[in-house]
Amino acid sequence: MIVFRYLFLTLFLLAGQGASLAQDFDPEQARLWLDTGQERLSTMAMVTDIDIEVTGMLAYTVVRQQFLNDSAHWAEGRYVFPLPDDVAVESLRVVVGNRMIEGEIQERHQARMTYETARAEGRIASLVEQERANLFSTSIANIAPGEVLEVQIGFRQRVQYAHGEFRLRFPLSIAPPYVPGDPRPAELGSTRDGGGQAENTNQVPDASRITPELAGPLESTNPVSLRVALNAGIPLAMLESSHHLIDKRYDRGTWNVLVDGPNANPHKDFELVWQPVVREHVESVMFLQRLGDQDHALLMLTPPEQFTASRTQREVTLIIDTSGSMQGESIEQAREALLFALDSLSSQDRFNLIEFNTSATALFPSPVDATAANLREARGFVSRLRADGGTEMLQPLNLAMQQVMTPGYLQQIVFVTDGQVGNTAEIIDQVREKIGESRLFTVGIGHGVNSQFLTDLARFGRGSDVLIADLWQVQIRMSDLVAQLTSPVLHNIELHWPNDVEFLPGQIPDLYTGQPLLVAARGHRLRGDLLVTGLSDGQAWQQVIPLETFQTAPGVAAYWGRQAIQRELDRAGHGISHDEARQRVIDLAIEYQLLSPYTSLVAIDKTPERSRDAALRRQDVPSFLADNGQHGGALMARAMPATDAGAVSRLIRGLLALALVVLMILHPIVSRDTSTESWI
Amino acid sequence: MIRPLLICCFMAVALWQIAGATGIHAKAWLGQVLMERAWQRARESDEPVEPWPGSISHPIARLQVPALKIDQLVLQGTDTPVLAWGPGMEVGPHGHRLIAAHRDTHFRFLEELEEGESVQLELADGGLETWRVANRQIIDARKTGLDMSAAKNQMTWVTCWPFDAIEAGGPMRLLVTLHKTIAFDHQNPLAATNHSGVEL
Repeated sequence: MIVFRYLFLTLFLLAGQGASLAQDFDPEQARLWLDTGQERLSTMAMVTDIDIEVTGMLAYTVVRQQFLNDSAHWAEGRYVFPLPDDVAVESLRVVVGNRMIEGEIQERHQARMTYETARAEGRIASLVEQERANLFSTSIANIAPGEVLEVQIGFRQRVQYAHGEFRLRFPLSIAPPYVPGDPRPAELGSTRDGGGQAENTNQVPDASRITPELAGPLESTNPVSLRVALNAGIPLAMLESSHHLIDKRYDRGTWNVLVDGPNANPHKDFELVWQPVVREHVESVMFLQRLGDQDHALLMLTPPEQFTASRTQREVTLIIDTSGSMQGESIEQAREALLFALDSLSSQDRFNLIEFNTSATALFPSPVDATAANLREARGFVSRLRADGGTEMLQPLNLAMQQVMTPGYLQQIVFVTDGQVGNTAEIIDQVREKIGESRLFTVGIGHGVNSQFLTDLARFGRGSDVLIADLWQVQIRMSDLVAQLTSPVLHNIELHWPNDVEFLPGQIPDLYTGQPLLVAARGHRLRGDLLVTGLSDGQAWQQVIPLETFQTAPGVAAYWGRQAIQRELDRAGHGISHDEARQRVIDLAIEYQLLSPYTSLVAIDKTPERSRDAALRRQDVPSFLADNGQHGGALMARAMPATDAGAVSRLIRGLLALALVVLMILHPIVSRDTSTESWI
Repeated sequence: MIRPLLICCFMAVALWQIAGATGIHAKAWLGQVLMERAWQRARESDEPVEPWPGSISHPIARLQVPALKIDQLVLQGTDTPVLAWGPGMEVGPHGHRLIAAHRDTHFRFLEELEEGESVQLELADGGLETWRVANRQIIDARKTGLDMSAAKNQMTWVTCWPFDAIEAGGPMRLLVTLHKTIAFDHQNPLAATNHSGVEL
């Protein structure tokens, strides 16, 4: 079925139409592609184990996936998988039999060379590359027939915090992205060199790398299990999973959460939410890790719930994605979200509505007053929305950003989409260039949302992003967003450090009610007082944060490294050249041992595969035949008896010695003629 | 001066090794010969008979492969000292039989033993069983154990593999699985039953 869908997609692209595609894109699970040289086969991860350890604001996760080469040939495997946004990937391990191969960070091109050399030499090798900020691929070379191997990937991520609630998200599935543009002519190289379903196009030159073959919901028989060890450090009032049934247990300060068996639906993203018992206002928390001679800190500031009571006049442009990928429940959620946003408008506000799929349509040529008649027309427009067609995102954004602005109004663009497009970089560039004084807010709809892209859009649009995975969440998440949209803003925020400190983000975003300000900092010695100043409705606002009290936490340095890499990536082409940004990213990635677009993790087995028997000979780990339950009773297993008397080896050694004796006796006789002196 | 010394040394090594190898074969042959007498007596009495005073084992069965002209006495136990004298047998809790022997002496013939071959096992109590070779497999002794609780109509033979390996003590084993075809009772020849695949 899936193959057919993509065939259709490709055909339409070939015909040069961004034609309407009636497809139900369900988020789906990644699978491993096996290339045996003769044929291409696919195999699902047999077991996926996710272990998350949360300490304070940071989480360390290890994902273990076992794959089986069920073909009769040596194979190379490749699979694409999603990770949470903003992750700092720092370790790769491949386990084959009793051996563990550890990966190391290398420059991307060099890592690929290392991998390919090892593959040619017949060694087990693995390579993890970053395809997008939240999309990664793993290649494994020289998997023996019938062999099971385990790939372990370790990474760090930050826990989200807003409105007194902590949130940890883990994507279990990926949705296929929409790939716009014309297929690249075959002369420019293979159009599917990445092995994916879509062909490379002029707008998305690596499309074939990011569109893996996917397994539909009915095929997902492979088990996923997810464990979270939550060390919140404070008593919790609530601990819930948004989309899965969980088993939770409290043990000596740690909450252990388990999702497995039939509860672990891999087609829904995992989200864990918790609230501390004490909901009193906490002004700041600092987490510290010292690495080398540098202090690395993660600082969270929460401004007071209310700054002033005044209300700002707003001009809101709502953009709704009605492309084919939004079909089904997604469009329902989007409709609900839009109606919610419309309801929040007061009579002093102005608004407009833009719908887009293959092309964009605005309800009004320019924003209009939120009168009862206009709102009624807008509601009618929303209820008539149908999801169909491509996802051409640039048009509606340009339309919204180029509207004639009404002076004295706060410009807000609310963008409702699942973010499934391939040309994300192009869209982000446009927004950075044209956003001006407008603020862009994104609302991610459904499971398998490209949330990294939406977060980036909101970041450059100086707004914020929310995710709505299920219909029931529309109310909660949208009220948070609307509260933000209508609440007074703390802007022009500046940080005054006591000494020379490097901090991120360099440009502090606006702060809305209930939103914390997160700052990563690095300095030789972080002590003293931090002064935070800002403006709220023209009024000066300030807060003093003492840096003396902190909690030590692992992963802060990795978080800093990840943020610093992001800063350099953002600067590329905007201030510094691409080459310079690339070099800085490589330096940072190697300093903090992180995966990045320019560095990869590569693991090479030091033992060539062909002498694997020799390598195994050195180990002596007895294990036993599995009890298949046939005999009911306990398994009576015994080791093999030694069944070699050693007569052969003795005979051979004896004959060799005898041959030497014969040679020694014969030597003087044979060599007497040629040499006059006999040897001693 | 050194040459004769070297020659003597190598000669000694050669004799020692060849004697060792010959000794192994001699022991294997002698064991069978000495055991023959004890086996005849054991069949007449109910008690196990020691082949010679202070011996570590005693014969408990006679193994015959007519097609390969093999006729061997099987001893009790599969410890290394026992296997020097002859194939050793262990019996599991449900009657599963395991016979192990050295690849360079008694079980050398497993190399030629083919699937489907008929094998006879004569027991000390006079029972004569007919078995058939069901399959042969090569396994890694470090990764596989033997399931002694298997059914009694199954027998496993083990020997080292490959047969032409030069070094002793390799990890690979040849496992031959046999299935009992007919349980033949000497006292009551008419009670022969087909037990293939059926728990007795």
